[in-house]
Amino acid sequence: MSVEDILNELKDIQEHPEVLLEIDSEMEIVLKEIIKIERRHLYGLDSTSATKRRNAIQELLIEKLKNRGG
Amino acid sequence: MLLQKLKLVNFRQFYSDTTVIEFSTDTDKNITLIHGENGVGKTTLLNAVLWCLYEKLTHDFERPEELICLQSLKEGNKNCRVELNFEYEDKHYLAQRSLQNTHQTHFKLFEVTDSNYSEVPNPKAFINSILPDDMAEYFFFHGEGITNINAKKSGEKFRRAIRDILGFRLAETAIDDLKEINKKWTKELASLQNLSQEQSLLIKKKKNTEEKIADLKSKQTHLADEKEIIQTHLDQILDKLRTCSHTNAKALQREIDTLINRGNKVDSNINQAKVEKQGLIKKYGWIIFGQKLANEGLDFIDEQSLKAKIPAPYDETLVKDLIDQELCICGRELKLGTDEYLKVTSLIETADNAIIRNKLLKSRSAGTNIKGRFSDFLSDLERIEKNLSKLDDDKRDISHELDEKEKELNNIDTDEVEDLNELKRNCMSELSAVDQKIGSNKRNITNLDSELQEIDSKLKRFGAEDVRISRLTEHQSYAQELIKLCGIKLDQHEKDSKLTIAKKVNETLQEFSRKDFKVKVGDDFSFFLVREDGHRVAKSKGENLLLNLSFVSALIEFAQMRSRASGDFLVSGTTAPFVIDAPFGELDNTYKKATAEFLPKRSRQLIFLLSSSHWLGIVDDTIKNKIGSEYVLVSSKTSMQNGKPDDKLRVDGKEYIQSLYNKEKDATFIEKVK
Repeated sequence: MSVEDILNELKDIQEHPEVLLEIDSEMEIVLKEIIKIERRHLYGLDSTSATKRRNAIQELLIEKLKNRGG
Repeated sequence: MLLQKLKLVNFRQFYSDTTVIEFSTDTDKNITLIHGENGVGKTTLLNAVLWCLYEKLTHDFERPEELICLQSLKEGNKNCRVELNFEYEDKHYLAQRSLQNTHQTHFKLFEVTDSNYSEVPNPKAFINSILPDDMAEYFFFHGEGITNINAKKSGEKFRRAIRDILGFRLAETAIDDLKEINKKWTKELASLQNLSQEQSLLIKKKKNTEEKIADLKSKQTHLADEKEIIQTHLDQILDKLRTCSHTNAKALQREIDTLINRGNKVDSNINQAKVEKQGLIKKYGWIIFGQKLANEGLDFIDEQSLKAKIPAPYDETLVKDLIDQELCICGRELKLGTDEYLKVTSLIETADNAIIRNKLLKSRSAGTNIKGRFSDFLSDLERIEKNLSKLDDDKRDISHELDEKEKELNNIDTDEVEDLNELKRNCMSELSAVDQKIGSNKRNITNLDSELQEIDSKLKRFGAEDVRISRLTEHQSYAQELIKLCGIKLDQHEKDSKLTIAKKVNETLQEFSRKDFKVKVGDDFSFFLVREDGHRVAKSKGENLLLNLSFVSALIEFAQMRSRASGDFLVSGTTAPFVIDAPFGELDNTYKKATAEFLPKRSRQLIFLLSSSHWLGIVDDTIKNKIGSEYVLVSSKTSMQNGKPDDKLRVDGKEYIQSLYNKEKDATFIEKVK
């Protein structure tokens, strides 16, 4: 790889810095979705009971497992 | 949250609806300065914000039941109102709290888009999600109120609030919820029909084991709380011993402190050496067995070489040439299919060639390498063992010396020292009893955890026969994985947060404090100053205020930083305003200047409510270039002046009279400076 190639690579990264972002694992994505549910139910505009909150999380888990083929 | 506008309507001394303050939202000139002499209404402004958002008032707010302006009441008007416009996550809101007929308050929150107002359905929860109620008094704080942050009762509230503002509570609730969901699935498992006896028993055992673990974990939490209380008590006793009137006792306790610190360092070195030893064995332990094989291998190669069997004494090329030429070395003909031909051809399989030579070379080199590594491994192990043995000796010496010093201290027979020693002994024995309980619970939890794992793996095997068991156990393992991941992430975030906040506070202290102390942030977000040897130090009132202000401002900065972090696990944090009424009271000029310098740097929006004695001089000089909005509170009185001061204040070359007499109404008004 020549110096010019490296410079081009760096330029690409500068233009598209998102390529350097860490990619979340499947479980991390699910966890973020759970936290979103927590936030919506605890603080959000549709603040509800613990049972409703847990039901929403349970539904999410079952849905995710279905998509996994479980 | 950025405050934009505050409007007071007949609230306390602010008559009518003329009091409107537009806060600076500029990033550079981020200070809004409100001048006001004592009793004019600075604290009322602070309380107006608190009351509007949380329906609470500061502890020292006198006659809190009289919120409606007296002048207005005289005129028959029995209502008051506070309106606060603010910006949050690029949206605009109007919070409005009113009090009607002196006892009923109404709170409404609107999202404002252009000129449309849409009501937010659960305003209290929404405001709490931005700035938790428990945290409010530290973001909107009055004078010395902040000095109590680390006091036990207010401190607990404060620390709970920190967890809220940094979003940790969301993760903790998520873990609790996932555990509850898992419990539900265990119940479902237990209620399955037509199970074999073995399956039913196993599920019952699983349920019992989970309950036992939950029970032990809850006991652990209580024990940890108990331990913290005893530890705090012990710290106080030790502090008293370190500062008691008996010179010898004081010196002995300090020597004990030093010995304990040395002992802790030795313990930490022992742990480090043990980890190193384990790592070494894990990485190179196989060499112990490999070395025997390598020796045998090398001996075999040497022996066979000596016997000229490896490599074979004849070369592959030579054998091939003989076959090609159909003539053996001995002169016999090698005709295809003859015994001589077959015999010579079979030699190719064992003949020496480049591949065999290469393999032999590699085998020798691998064997020699293993022998070399074995000796390195042994000498490294020996070095670690020597170090461990030396550390054990050090530990024994320190422990012996510590016993001697404790005995000496215990033999001092003045009442003060005897009492403190007795309390110290009691605390230490209580601490050791709690530690034992914690240790025993921990062991029980570990055992039960492995029992549970075994049960789960048996259940999974049953899952192959019963699809219902398979489904539920799969759900449970999924939830377990998420609980584990959430726990790891939460731990990581807590550690990072504590480190970042401590770093920011230390930067402030390093720059501005006279003493060379450092701040330490405890596991529960309590914070204290420590000397180099790790011991807490007593602070003056001024230092306490400086520390608390720098802690809260570091927290504000950190929360703001986190609100910008995209893709983060908790994505919490917020841009919070810092509204401070009379923050410089306990500070001398050096600390005043320091505080006036670091607060605007750390906060996105800073609102100062200052009397002339706090502002004039060093504070004015330090903040004047950072002021984006400025007001003066003017008190109008119906009484005659009779020699009373008119409280003139010169701001930007213009003179403002802050006390007006012989006026029609008793009220406070506000004048805009810029």
